[in-house]
Amino acid sequence: MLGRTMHGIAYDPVHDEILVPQPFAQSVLIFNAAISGEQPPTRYIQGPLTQLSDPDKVDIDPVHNEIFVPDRDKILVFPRTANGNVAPLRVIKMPKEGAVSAVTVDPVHNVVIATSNLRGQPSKIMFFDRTAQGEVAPKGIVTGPKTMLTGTFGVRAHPQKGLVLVCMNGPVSVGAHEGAFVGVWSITDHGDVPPRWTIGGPHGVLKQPRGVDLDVKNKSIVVSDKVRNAVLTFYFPEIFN
Amino acid sequence: MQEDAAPSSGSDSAKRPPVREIHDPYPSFSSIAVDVKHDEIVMTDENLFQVLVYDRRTNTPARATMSEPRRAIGGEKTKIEFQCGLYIDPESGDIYAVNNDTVDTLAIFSRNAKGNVAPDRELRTPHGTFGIAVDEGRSELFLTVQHSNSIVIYDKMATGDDQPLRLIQGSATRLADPHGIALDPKNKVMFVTNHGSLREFHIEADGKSTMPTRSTIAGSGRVVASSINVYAIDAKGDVAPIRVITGPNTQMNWATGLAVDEERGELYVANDMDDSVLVFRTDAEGDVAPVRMLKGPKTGMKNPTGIMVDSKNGELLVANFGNHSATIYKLPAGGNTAPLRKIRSGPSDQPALMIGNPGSVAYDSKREEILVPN
Repeated sequence: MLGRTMHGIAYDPVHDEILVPQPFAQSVLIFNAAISGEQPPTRYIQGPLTQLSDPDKVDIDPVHNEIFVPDRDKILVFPRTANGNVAPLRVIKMPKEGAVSAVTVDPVHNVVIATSNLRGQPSKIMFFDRTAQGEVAPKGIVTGPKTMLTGTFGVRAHPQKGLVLVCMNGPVSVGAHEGAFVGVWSITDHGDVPPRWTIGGPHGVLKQPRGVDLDVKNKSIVVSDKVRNAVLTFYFPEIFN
Repeated sequence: MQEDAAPSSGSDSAKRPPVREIHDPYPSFSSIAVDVKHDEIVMTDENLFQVLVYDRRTNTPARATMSEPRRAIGGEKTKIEFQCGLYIDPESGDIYAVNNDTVDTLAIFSRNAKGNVAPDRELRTPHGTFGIAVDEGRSELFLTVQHSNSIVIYDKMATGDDQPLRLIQGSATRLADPHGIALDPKNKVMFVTNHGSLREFHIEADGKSTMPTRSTIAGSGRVVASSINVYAIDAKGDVAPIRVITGPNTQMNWATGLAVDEERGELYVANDMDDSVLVFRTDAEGDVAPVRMLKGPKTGMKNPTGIMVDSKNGELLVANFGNHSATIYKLPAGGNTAPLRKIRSGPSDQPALMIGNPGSVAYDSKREEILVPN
């Protein structure tokens, strides 16, 4: 049930599961993380009740047992154990005809972090209460020239330290972007705030960072890069100490 | 809002190098075509973003690391990224290279193009094109479009923002993540492989636009069996296929590239996930078994995605995305048969990593493994 075009993945360390959105079939697939080869998912979310339209990214809150899926102008929240044609538990609607391109959740500080890249508008990082529902204003927004955000792709929370890591891949998805980097912000940041750290750029090794995750044990950051067509690991103890 | 959840600002770390990089240093072939007039084989490389041109008779010696191409086209000016489809003009040798998920441009190069050069002609395409075929008799160019379950048909010489002549899209078409496309002009039909992911789109009732819509109907997604859909070569609109080849007997598993052997009335299918090539009669329909299969350890195939029939030289060419190779067989190919020749772009003992547009990444902390969707 996988496809050859998938742009999201999340690992649930508590339940040892892998989550993958499959936009061409409007589904979210949940696999046992131990499997290998051609195996069916343990569960999948799909059908008219789901409201899934273009699921491209996903994140998991293993503490509160919820799955977060950005989908055009909203964030759909499903129970972790959802299977089949299941309605979302909550829908967080982006305010003022906004759009959401990626989402991650911090279950320690009860924050949902979403990024937005609407054409003609500056890129932004938005912070919502984890239990937000309906059309609500974010309680914090990071945007502006000091952020150096001219586009975003993947995003991942670092709940233990109250941080969020954002892939800044530039304004267009074609070719290399010399200003690309992975930026680190605090979930308490608000306004035109520069990243506390940048990884792999600007003018560094990253050309089009797309995905990011944390290896806490080894104090490292793992980044996928479209133009390098590669996965890079950076030792970065600063954000783990 | 939580307070003091983060540490204070750190030092400039932008230049810190990675401690590790997972990257395949060798080309991975995704599609293949022959320039019969100039005796050259052309392949797309989705790993290093190139189009590579080899002497048609290249046969990499077993002990060699790889064979060097005659020419390589690659670099920022070329607009080449994840090229997945290829067509060679039989007269001029022009190279038509289809971009998939990241660049909405069909790049067309003259035969002798080399290095980091701009395409000689560009056509802005719908997002997510994959397969390509050309009807030389009608001077029409066909492209499959994954992201909108559609087929667009252009004038072969279309350029810039030229619009398609025709569009095939809609529920009746049964298009479901279309990939490869091949034409049978003699019988006036086209064949299209479908991986089986399906979602419905809001189709305009007037049918005037020839660009596919990407406006999806939420919650309409489902997975159907892989298939080969057959349409009239002049089909347009929300049109049902004339025939469909699908079902467990077909043994299709992400059937991708397609090629027609007009002389024998056979359809060759690159069956990606089964490491095989399936052969059907061109008039096959329903849940039919292939008349032959090319499969087994002697074939040297691994994740075949591109395929072409070279009628002039009586050969079948296969691009293997999974092992840095193209394998060439004598027609009519079948069984566990060794290739006549093999073109390798990397060492024979190193499988391709098959990373292609890594849109995300996750870390499995239990197994200490990195997970990469493609």
